[in-house]
Amino acid sequence: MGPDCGTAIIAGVGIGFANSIRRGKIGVVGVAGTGLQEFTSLIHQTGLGISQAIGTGSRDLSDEIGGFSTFKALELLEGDPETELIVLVSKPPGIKTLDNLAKKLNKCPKPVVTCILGARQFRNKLKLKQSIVSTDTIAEAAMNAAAIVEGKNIKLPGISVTNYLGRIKKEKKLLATNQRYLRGIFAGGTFCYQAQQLMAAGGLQIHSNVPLAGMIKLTDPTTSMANSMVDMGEDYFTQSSPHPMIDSRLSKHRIIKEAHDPEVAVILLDFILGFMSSENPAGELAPAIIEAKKIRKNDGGHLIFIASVCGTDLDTQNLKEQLSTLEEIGVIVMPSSAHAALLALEVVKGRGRQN
Amino acid sequence: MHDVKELLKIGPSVINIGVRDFGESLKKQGVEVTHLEWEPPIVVDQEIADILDKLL
Repeated sequence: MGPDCGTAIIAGVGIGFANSIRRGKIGVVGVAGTGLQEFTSLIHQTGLGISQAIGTGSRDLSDEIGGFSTFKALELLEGDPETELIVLVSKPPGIKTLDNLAKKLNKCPKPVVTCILGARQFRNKLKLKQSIVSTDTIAEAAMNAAAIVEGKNIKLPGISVTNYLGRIKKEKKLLATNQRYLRGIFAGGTFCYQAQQLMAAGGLQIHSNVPLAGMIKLTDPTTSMANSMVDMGEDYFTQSSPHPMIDSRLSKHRIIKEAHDPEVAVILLDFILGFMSSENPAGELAPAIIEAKKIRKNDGGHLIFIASVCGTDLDTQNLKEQLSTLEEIGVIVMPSSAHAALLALEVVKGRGRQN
Repeated sequence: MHDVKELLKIGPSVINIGVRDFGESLKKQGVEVTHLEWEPPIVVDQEIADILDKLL
């Protein structure tokens, strides 16, 4: 592990922010805390399990550190007899670290699946061998890892939200004509990066307090502009408040603030269950979501809420109850953070000038 | 001292420093935890320190 690392599952023990996950054959190195949480939760949901989930902290593949913990973790999983397949989930690495990362992954004797966010920017520079399955989202990494372990050695097609378009069609009709922007309010930094990546692929420019390359930095992290994605777990917010996974106060205020912007059409949220997270994330944000919808309705418009819930049936927060709390107040709950981001993109596509 | 590979088999031995909740979360999973009381030093802005000195 390493500095600023808050997530791991070692020999079945969840350390820091982690979910209750069945043991199994898939080992994962997470250079992305909530990325690790979502990957392990999705694997659990397939019925499979995790041998080890080694968190390194999201800066480990930066050029300043050069992958010190990541490479050690990969070696450990290579030598672990319980691990049959190795997955790497990472926030964007440093450009200078790519060669060493490729060398390390290419030497691995076990099957490898990667989800390296921001990878499109340096796809030509990250020279991975053909047998390594590279995916763009955490959900795709989980689907492909599960397929390989089950003996299906083909790369699966990317995720799609076509089956969910009917659900937003009705809500889009209620939007006022000037409602054209989307706002992402994230507890998980990895989900914020992933959403930006998906929006960029969809042709949207995003403002963020943690912008991916090519996106725009918010001048004031407390005030969104146009299409914005905010990581509420970033140091600016957590220097004086608990992390939003523990205490959702700042996220509640942000939801209400966004609701007062008449140009906002859709708010994208993430809910993260597991050890160290609040006991009722959905229940805590529900009043703010209800109030936000009223604010836009009173103004002659509508506010669409789309969310994902990262967790398992073994987490103490009761996943089923979390899902029903959100669905009862009209939040569209998607199977993963990537699905949620893609559906939010569908809401704003074609709705007037975007940037 | 165990080789780090042993860690993956036998699980972590834990010293929890500072925030108790992290240690409590591990105890609930049956892990033995030694807690060390610690808080980061309070850093007071000099201007505020001067005001407090005047008031107090």
